[in-house]
Amino acid sequence: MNYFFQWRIIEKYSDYFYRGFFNTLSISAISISLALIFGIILAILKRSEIKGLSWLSGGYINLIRSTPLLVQVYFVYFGLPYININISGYWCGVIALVLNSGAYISEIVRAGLESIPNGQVEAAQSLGIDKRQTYIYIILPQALRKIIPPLIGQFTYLIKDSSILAAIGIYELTNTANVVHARTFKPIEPFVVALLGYIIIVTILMISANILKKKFSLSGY
Amino acid sequence: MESGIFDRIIMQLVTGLYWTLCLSMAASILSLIVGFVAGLIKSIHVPIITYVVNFYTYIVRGVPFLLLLFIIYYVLPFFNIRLSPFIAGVLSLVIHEGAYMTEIIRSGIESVEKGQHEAAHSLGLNYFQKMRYIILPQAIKITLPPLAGQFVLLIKSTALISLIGLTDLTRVGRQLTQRGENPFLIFFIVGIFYFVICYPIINISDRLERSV
Repeated sequence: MNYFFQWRIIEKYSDYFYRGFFNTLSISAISISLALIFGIILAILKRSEIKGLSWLSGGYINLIRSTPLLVQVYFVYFGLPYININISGYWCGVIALVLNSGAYISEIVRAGLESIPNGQVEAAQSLGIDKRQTYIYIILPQALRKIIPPLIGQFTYLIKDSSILAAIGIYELTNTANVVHARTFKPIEPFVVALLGYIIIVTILMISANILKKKFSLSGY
Repeated sequence: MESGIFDRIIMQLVTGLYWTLCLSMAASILSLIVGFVAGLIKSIHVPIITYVVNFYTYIVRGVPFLLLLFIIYYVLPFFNIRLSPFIAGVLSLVIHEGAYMTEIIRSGIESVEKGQHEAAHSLGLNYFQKMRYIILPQAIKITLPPLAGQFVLLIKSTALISLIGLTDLTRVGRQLTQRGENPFLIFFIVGIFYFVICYPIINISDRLERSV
């Protein structure tokens, strides 16, 4: 097959690709930070002794895990304007990603919290430390060690999931490739750029996850 | 108005559900086969083929499913291979989910103790007998929970194929909202449809995981 890869297309639309790359990164970074907070709250609610709260949190997590992200994105993007809440597509995307990722992160956080032996809590109690302080000073610092590697894994999933926001017209990397393809009628060049963009991001995250995993692993744990 | 809701919404969605289920079934079976074969290859370290499989899983797991779908649906026609949305959907699902299933099956096989392999060898079993009677029965127990989880991800990924024009559950929902139906209601019902399919599988996966 004699096909020549046309660098000119990439050069001509390089601004588009920079914007797409930046949007993918910024949406993912904002979403993961908010999702982490949301996920920790969900995890703590699920462990709560009040039956109603733990049931509600568990139900929410199962509902999110059992439905496609695209349906959740549509629910937010088309639903909110219907009840006269008008926010930009970018923030609708962030909301949907936070609602979705929060559920997955809460499972990671919960597994981390549950891995802390009960003796730690009992020891804290016998020292007269109250419940809130036990969480903040005893459980969370130890749990965080176990949470960080899978959390980076979740971050890579979130970056890949952010491509779904192409469906609501946000100019992230996948949509940018699609737009350039529609303008130039050349599919190979833009999609190769997008492909490499994702692989670079995911590879960097995978390497950093491995480094952190080694750094945080303690002997005996 | 309430009496018409069934004909107007539910029956429409059921036609979309049909395509979602067809797609999920076809892609599940084929990607399981791909994952099984590639997982076996990855676990036995044949020089060149293992590198090819490693490269395949590395690339696919770094790429969003939607991008892969666009590449297959838009790039292949450039080389005069035209695919219907359904076939393009099945193909990209198999390539994508196959890579994840490869990793699951490989880790399942590798999690069986080395002593078991050696014991099978010393009993004079050949490779196929060893796999069939010793390794796989033990590996299946470990791989079943993550495999069930992967099937759920596959079913959820089928929603994206609505973006290249297959009238599956999600696309029917989208069309109904374009006709002025309440988007909250429609996408809630669409969500319930997916929930009814996926939740039992998630539940089984969670239970299996606890019992292993």
